[in-house]
Amino acid sequence: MKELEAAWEEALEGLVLHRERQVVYLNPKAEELLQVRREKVVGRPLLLTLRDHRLEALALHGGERRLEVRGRLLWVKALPGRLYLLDETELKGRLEALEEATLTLAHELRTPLAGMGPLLEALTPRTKQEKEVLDLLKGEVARLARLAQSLSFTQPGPRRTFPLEELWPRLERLLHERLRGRRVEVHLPHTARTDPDALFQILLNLLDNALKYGQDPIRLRSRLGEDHLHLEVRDAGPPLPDYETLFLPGRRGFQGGLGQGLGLYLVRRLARSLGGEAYAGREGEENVFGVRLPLD
Amino acid sequence: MREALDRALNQLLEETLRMLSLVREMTQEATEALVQQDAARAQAVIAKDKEVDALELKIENQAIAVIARHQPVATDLRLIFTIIKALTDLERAGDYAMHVAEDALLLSKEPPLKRYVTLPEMGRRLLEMMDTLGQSVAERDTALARKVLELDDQVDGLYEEVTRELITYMMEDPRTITKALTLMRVARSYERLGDHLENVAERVIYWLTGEIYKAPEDAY
Repeated sequence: MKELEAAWEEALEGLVLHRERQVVYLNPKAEELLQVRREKVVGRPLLLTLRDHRLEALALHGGERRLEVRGRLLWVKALPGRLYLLDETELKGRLEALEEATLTLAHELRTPLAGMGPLLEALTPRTKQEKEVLDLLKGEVARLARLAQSLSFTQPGPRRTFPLEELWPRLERLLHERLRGRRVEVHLPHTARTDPDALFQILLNLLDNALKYGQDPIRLRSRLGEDHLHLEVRDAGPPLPDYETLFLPGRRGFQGGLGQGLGLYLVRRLARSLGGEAYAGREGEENVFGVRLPLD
Repeated sequence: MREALDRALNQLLEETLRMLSLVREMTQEATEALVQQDAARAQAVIAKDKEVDALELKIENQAIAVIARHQPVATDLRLIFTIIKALTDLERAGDYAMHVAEDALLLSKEPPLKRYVTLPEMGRRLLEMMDTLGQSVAERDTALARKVLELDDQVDGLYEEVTRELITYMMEDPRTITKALTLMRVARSYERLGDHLENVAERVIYWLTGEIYKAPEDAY
């Protein structure tokens, strides 16, 4: 047990142990994150160490929350008598820097890409080989243009009420090559009040992932939750080791995939801009990737 | 007997830190509501002010009960008076955070006059002041309490900066006057909030050293 104690002394995560509202132990990382000196607070009231009523409430009632504490962003997890603190400040900073770089880059790419499509259309291929090359180029330019557009998406456009079914023909047109020979079931009986373009982009990314990495049958469906509308793409692929990290930029669920690992990151960003959230998980024999949007 | 008094004093300190933490949350949320033009957030801050007011009353009653029951002397008595005096300042600080939220609500309805830079900086310094103040109380450290006074000087400096900048806006284009005046009020609220925190820090020094301490610019 001595070893365990020594390990906590060196841990990168903060730990506070408390009993009957008194601090029993805190490790050096917790000292640093909470800006306290242990010799001053051990054996004294918990709130004197935490000095934050939200942290105190969490410590006493349990749960998990992301909190800004003393200028740092902490992921806090509270179990009876134990409070774990994980510093996410740098991660947040990295994500913000990435976001800014992405926006600038997408903006720079969009204009030349918009011009390339019509230019390629104007070319007349002379041989079969030239036609093949040209088709390939057109496809790639269109793909890049879509990517640039979804990357530069930050603010949702105007909302309107529309039947979700409306989105499917557009999705089918864009994906038709890749839908051929696949088993995709679509069940979208609800109406939504949101920005249709943002939702389209979300479903496009989710379907694209399922077609690339998932297994048939793929099911695109909407369902009503308590106060949310859920849109989900389910597939019969094998369970994945970790679902939450897939939403971080640059993470791919499968080795050897061809994407940039931005799909789910963009889905989450879009879902949040619509006031909702993106989620993923395993249900029965299916992988579920979806978004929940607030009912108006 | 001594043990019971210590327990009661610790409880008073805890409640006061809770109040400080509430004011801190209000200040942070009000600043974010201002920058992000988030009306819902501003309203949440306004609603929180009642909690601060209720806490003030509760702590004051507890403090009186401790005096009546334990008849404390020396440092203990100084602590209780520090708390009673600090309560008034913290309650006022909460009011100013609420005023920032009220103005943020007003400003959220129209496009901003400019990108806010100095105002959120004032907000950040105030949060730092409250963090340092909390630490000085928890660790009974006068050096930290003195640092709070230094930070307040920075807030005052920023206040002057904002005022000058807003006056330039108003002189250049009279159509900006309404918005600029509202922003001026926000800056003023921040500045006053800082002054109340400074008062609390002075009280903390008094509690820990027994000396009445006044920041140099107040000592005339």
